[in-house]
Amino acid sequence: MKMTLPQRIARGLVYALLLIVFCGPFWGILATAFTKNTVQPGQLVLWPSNPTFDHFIYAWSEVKIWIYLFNSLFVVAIATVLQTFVSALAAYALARKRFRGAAIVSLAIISTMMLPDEVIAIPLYLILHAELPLLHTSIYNTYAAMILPVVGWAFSVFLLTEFMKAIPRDLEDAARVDGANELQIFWRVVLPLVRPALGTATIFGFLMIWDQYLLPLIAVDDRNLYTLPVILRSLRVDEVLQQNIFIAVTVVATVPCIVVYLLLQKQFNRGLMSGAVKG
Amino acid sequence: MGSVSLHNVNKSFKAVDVIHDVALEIEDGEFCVLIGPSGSGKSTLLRIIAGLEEVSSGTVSINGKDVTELAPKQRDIAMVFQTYALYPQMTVAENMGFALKLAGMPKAEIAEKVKQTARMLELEPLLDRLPKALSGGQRQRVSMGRAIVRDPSVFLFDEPLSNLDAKLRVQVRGEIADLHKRLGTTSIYVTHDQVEAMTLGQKIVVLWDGRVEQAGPPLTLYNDPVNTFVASFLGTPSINLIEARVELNGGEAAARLTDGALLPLGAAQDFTEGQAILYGIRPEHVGIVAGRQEGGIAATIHAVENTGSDMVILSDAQGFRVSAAFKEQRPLEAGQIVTLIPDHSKVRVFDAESGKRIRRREDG
Ligand SMILES: Nc1ncnc2c1ncn2[C@@H]1O[C@H](COP(=O)(O)OP(=O)(O)OP(=O)(O)O)[C@@H](O)[C@H]1O
Ligand SMILES: [Mg+2]
Repeated sequence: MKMTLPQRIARGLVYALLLIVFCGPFWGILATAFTKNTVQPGQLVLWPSNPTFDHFIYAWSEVKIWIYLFNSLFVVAIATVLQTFVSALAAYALARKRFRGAAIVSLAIISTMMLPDEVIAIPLYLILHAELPLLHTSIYNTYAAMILPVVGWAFSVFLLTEFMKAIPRDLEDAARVDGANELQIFWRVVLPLVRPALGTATIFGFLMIWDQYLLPLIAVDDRNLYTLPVILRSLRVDEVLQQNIFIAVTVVATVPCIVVYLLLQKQFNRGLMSGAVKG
Repeated sequence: MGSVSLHNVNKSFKAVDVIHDVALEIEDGEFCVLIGPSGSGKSTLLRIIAGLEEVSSGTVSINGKDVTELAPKQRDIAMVFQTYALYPQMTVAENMGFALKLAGMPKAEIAEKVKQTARMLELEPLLDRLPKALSGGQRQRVSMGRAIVRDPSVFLFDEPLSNLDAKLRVQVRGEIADLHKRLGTTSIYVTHDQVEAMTLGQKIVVLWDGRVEQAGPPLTLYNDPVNTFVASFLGTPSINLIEARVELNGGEAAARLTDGALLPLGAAQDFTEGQAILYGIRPEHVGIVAGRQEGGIAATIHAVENTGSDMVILSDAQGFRVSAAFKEQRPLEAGQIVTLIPDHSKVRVFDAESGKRIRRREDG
């Protein structure tokens, strides 16, 4: 369709506005992080004057953000893998297996979505402190305390359940006749078919775990186990720390999210489903 | 090697009984067709044989071995699904080799077998494609290849041709018949298409409401149906079933139709006076002459259906309809007054109430 000149200009303006609204603050953060001159709290610059890496170097060597970056990456990597795996198994059971109390299980999982984190903070704290049988220790102040509570996530369970329900049953029956056992059906037939959904679940799971603030706050109190959101919070209220350095740390904290998104986006291989069955 | 037998098989889903007391013997190498209207339990029965559905009671044996409690993979069967059910993420070759791979066969051997089967089905150029890049007919062929490559004792087909267009259906039907001749593998084939049943089946099993109405060779079922259901299920156009009452006259019985026509039935011993019957005669056994004539049914032609090779005449008698069919072209047209003359030796008589066949002496 051909557009008149005014229409094209109008469209350009709308796009430009959107770009400014969404990317503007991010640009401000980037520019400030690379600016030599000190800025005041709450202030951003729009163009880096005297560009420099100093703030990053300081953040790395003095604030030692590599400790917190490592903690965040370690927790998010293990927790996302576990979460996706557990969700896929749970989703398959909910989508396909008929078992006693399936509706109750489903309801129990949904109900976890209705409770705000703050409500479960205290019970969670008590559980994390509880002494485990046999081990005679609790998982408080370990990576496990930040990982295990996010391994079960209702959102990704339900996302995958819906996708798995859409897989034609004939495919599973065909695999059964071909001699596959239940695990092989899950692994070789079902999982490859929900790959797009697995990608989505992984991205959302990654972001959800990466952004965890309250959980690490109550799960650990050893500063060496802090994750980025927790350390960001404590740097924010640090009165002697330069604003630019705090902003540099913020930039470092956002990079992994962007990388993961760009990596997984390519993997979203939609359209695999077509051709499974005729009609 | 692969005989299949079912004994008193029952199946219910929750409170609904779907299969009632089915008994069936399928010999090694036989091509058996299960046919019946929609919802009659054909697919359920096939899935029971495959082991995809459990029986509620009864036993299933393959090769004389009781497999009732065994999983599909322990039954040595392969199945072709109506939807083809090809694994979308696997190439044609991987689809065909999947079962062999799961069985732990060495890679080289799998490749060899897949290639051999692909050659037989002319699938070789497609081996590296994904199912989504195949036409409907090609997918169908791959799903057959996937079954053949395993060399099972029994093939199970659930309406494998119903997603193909009419012309392709006839072609693939012929190929399935050829394959069966070549491989000689016991096959159980579900369809609701009676032409498929008649042309492919060495044995046809007619199902209705989860019961076996009749089982036997196609022509036996066609010529010697046990009830009106089987009689009208096989054959197009379907058999004429005309309400009548028996009149006995000396040693002879005759059928008095509602329009007053009197048609001979044969020996009186087989009937009782006044008995309500259905006078069954297939369209190809109805003769037709122009004008009025004694000893037939007076009728007016309602419509003429001419396919070029066949002519079907639909005619209205007083109170009922009769169709007639023949191969030769004849100058008949709608509105014409004719007399229909059934071939008395081909008449099949049924009890009007139960629909059960009443055998006459001359039926043999
Ligand atoms: N999983 C199930 N749960 C409940 N009822 C079922 C189930 N599968 C089949 N049925 C019922 O069993 C009966 C027989 O179904 P089946 O699929 O065997 O029929 P069919 O002869 O194959 O019909 P069609 O020609 O339409 O494929 C139907 O009434 C159907 O509703
Ligand atoms: Mg069916």
